[in-house]
Amino acid sequence: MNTLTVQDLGCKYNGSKPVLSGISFFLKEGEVVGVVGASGSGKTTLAYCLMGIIPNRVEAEVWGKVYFNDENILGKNVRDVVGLMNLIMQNYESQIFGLTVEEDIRFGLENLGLDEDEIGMRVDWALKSFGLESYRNFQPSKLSGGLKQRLAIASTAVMGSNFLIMDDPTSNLDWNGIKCLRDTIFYLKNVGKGVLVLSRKLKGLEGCLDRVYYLNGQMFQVSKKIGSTHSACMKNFVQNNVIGKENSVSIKVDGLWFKYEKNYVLKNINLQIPYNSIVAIMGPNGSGKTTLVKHFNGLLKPSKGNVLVDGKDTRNYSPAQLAKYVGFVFQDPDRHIVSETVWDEVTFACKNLGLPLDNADKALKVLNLQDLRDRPPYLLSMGEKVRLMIASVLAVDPKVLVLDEPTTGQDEKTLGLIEDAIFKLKSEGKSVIIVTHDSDFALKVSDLAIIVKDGSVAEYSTAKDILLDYKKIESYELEPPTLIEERVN
Amino acid sequence: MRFDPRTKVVFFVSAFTLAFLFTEIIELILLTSIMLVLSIFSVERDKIFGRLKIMAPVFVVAFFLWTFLNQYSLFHVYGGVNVMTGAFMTLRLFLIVVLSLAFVSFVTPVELVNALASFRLPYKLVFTLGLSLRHISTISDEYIAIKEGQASRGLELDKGFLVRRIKNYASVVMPLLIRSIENAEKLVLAMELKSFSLSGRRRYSVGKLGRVDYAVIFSMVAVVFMFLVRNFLW
Repeated sequence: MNTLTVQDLGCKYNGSKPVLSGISFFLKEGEVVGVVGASGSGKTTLAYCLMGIIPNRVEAEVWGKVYFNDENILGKNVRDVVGLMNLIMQNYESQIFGLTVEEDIRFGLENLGLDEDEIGMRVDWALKSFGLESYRNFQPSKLSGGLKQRLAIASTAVMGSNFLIMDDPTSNLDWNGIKCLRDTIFYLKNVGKGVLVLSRKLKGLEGCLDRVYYLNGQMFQVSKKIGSTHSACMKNFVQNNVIGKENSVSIKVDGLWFKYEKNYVLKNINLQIPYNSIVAIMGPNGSGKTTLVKHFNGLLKPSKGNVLVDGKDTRNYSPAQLAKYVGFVFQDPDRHIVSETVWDEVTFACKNLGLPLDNADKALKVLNLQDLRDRPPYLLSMGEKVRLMIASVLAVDPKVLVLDEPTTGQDEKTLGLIEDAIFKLKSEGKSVIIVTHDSDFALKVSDLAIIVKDGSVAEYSTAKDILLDYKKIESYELEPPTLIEERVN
Repeated sequence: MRFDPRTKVVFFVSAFTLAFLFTEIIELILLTSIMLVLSIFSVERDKIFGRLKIMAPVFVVAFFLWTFLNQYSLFHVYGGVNVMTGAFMTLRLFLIVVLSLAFVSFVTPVELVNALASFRLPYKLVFTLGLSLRHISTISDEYIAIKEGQASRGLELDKGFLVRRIKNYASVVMPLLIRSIENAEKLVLAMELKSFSLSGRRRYSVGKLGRVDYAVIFSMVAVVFMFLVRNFLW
């Protein structure tokens, strides 16, 4: 049986302090090891060191040993390592090359120079083993997120390496996607592959893990039960849905129907969101959550029905005009940074809207960014960039704040600051709307929860009523909060 | 009935060539009618006709320009109104737009790459084209997301005069460029993880041509040949 043994592995980028030090663990074929760590804890660096991407493609200093059986492979070229182990990147879509599912699985095999019979056999095996047979001729862009990821795993596994490394595989998946990933990992384990799962969150994968380590520059073995880096504090906090009784309505959705092309993706949505409240919008991927919230700031206009924001019909206003009332923070901050300094970025919206810059200073303080004022935004960490995007929206002092998946990839500190900012807005009588898959976070911060399923509102009630009811969690395909998981187990 | 990708590519290349070889309006009307009937049967019928509707003002402007200014240059004005020239040129423009929309609707990226590979075009060219086609949707998604993000922060992209608009769009183009460079770096890494080298050979799958395919290919090539002879040798 082949074994991968890591001894005292360390890594530092030029001029900085070590990102990894003293990392030691082992992984045998047929085993699954989980490594849980926050954003910036060194997960991707660890994967790159094991694969030879560091130091061959990304410049950094590495030390220690990575043994494949008795051979030290640390520092070897990626091409030499690929036969022994392979990596499924965090952004797995960039690993999909084929114009069809079958072509994508063939891609790596043809590169290995295998003969046509062998390729045909392996393609059939991969399609069957990973449940992709019925998608053989599909274009990968037409697959769901979960299936795309399965394709990325299948087309890597089919190349025959003994070990697979998965870098944050759960970050873009809903609960069904995570269950699908768990089944795939179980399959890989059963066929004798060694799997290393590096993730911020291992919730849902516990059943297939043999060992779990906690990574924060250094590595410690922990109990298998650790769900995520922020589950520990959950026990002490469930939001007590205190909403003022006579709240006026910030957003009123009246008979909303919406379609991009032929089919309606939102069907007869009726709801009201009160001021002085925090509302979580939840549901499986593709259920229409983001489509719904894009109506709140006029990015999308209803095909039928009305959306009123602070009494204004969104049909009559552009998103830029509504930006004064509704702040919208998108998921990926790198997509939106345009300025040369943090200060310019945080005042970007104010300048566009011709508003005073007084609130920008306050927003920087709330999100603890005041010391980074003159820094270029591109040099900030991911957590700091997320905070900067929230600050640039808060600088406008909107009446409603919409956050799309704010917890994805965030560390404890960033989550704490985001929570503080959310509670502060509520205390000022504003509405905060959070689109999230993270039941723990929703339960912790939100008063109300809206469940969107198949383009309709399946339920709108207090967050506690929905998220602490196991039957509802099951039926709405939501991630069970840690409290429920522990109760069930 | 399903046509082979090669048949589709030959059909459209021939139709584009004919649009430029035709000299009589009746010829243009005939080919335009055929393309419109074919478009009605496309799964993307609504999209094709929707886009034609959006482009209607362009056709109107083209008609007036060709009718009234067809003999105009910067230094001389010859004058004269020529409705036939206006109608002919507008119809040619309309046909080219219909052909482009129908091509995108009827020929998938997979079919295009497979067809080009079977015509023995250089492997590097075909592979690069396939990869580019796959990434068009990624870049387009990025563009939309960035545009939505900036609009949500109060940026009115299409407001103000030209210089102002160019400045506005810089706020979209800059992050798009950075994202594209990052994506390209990830792509190179991902290719290395799949042991990619340009010396390897992809197998592009094409089936056998049927009788109908042969009939369409030969008819189209013959028609193009006939018009070439008529225009240049006769």
